[in-house]
Amino acid sequence: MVFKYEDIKLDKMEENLPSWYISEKDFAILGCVAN
Amino acid sequence: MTELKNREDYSRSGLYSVIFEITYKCNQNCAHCYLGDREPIELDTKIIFNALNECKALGVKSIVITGGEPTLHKNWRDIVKYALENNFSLQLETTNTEILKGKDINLLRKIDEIHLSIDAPPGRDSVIRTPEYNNNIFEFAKKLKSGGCNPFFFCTLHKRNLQFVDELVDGLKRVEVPIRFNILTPEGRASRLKNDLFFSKQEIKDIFVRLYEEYRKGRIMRTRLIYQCLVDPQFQEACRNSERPISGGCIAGIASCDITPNGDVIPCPHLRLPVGNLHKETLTDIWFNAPTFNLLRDRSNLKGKCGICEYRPVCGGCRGAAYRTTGDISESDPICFKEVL
Repeated sequence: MVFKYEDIKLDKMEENLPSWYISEKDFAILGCVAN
Repeated sequence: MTELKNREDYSRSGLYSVIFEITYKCNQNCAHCYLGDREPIELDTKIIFNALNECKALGVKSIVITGGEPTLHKNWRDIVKYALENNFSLQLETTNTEILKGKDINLLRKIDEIHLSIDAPPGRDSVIRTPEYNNNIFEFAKKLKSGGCNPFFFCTLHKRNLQFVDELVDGLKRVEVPIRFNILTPEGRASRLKNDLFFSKQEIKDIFVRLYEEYRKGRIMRTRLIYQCLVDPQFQEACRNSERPISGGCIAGIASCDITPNGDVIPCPHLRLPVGNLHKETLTDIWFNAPTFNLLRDRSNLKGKCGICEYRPVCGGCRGAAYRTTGDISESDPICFKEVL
């Protein structure tokens, strides 16, 4: 499995998501990972 | 602060990416290494396999295997194979050009991304590393590419290699190896470098504006630092449309964490504050219950200009930089150049 932006579908929101949860789409385009 | 909860309270963990620093052994002695000088220890293989099993249960998508130099871990091939068998998107960070002398190309080809580090075009002196290093890593990337692998480069920009950006991007474009840029920050060994290598805030702003243009033209990959929101309308749009308090930016302890060779779990390679240890606790317990993680997950805790910034949902500032300079992970990010926009 390759984790690519093009493959990501918007998540269906669920009530018991943790407060810090960010969508996979946001993670893919906005994330800041290590150098 | 967020109330501590158990894994069962949530349908998802929010953890997308875990960085495994599997050893501090290294084949390089880079003057800007953010790790600084470390004992050449390696992470116990059983701990790694257990953590990978937990990652699978937690819904992790992406695993980064790094070091030090990860291919100096005695079991690096088994670790890579295990991560691949478990269907993670796998990234390997290496500078070990020797690995192509054996049969490892067949294994490397299965890795989603092989991250390499370069400072300047072949033959150029970047101060940080030698021209020979830049030659060798460039040739290494070409061999990986022709062998069916998927390499891409990181380049850490400082005052002495900024002049080479166009030449470097053009050279890599010809061999179809993508590149993304970071900015030199005074951490680890880099804290001992001369001040004349580091950029001022005005210079960082100019660089980000320029890199964003290069990204828009398709010449480079998006920069990974969080300050993209200051120059990139896509980030600003995402911020305006954000329905949740966090929709991007710094993901340390929010969607990512890092495991060090002694088993410590830390929020990020650049925020080296242990929040638990895998020799004593599970990754799952640490992820859901570590107070430091829960502090990072509530950006209303942020202080100073980060606390009142309109881009807080998509940025949050570099918590590692704040911690290094003030000892407080909630303080303002000292690198942010918003005030010079």
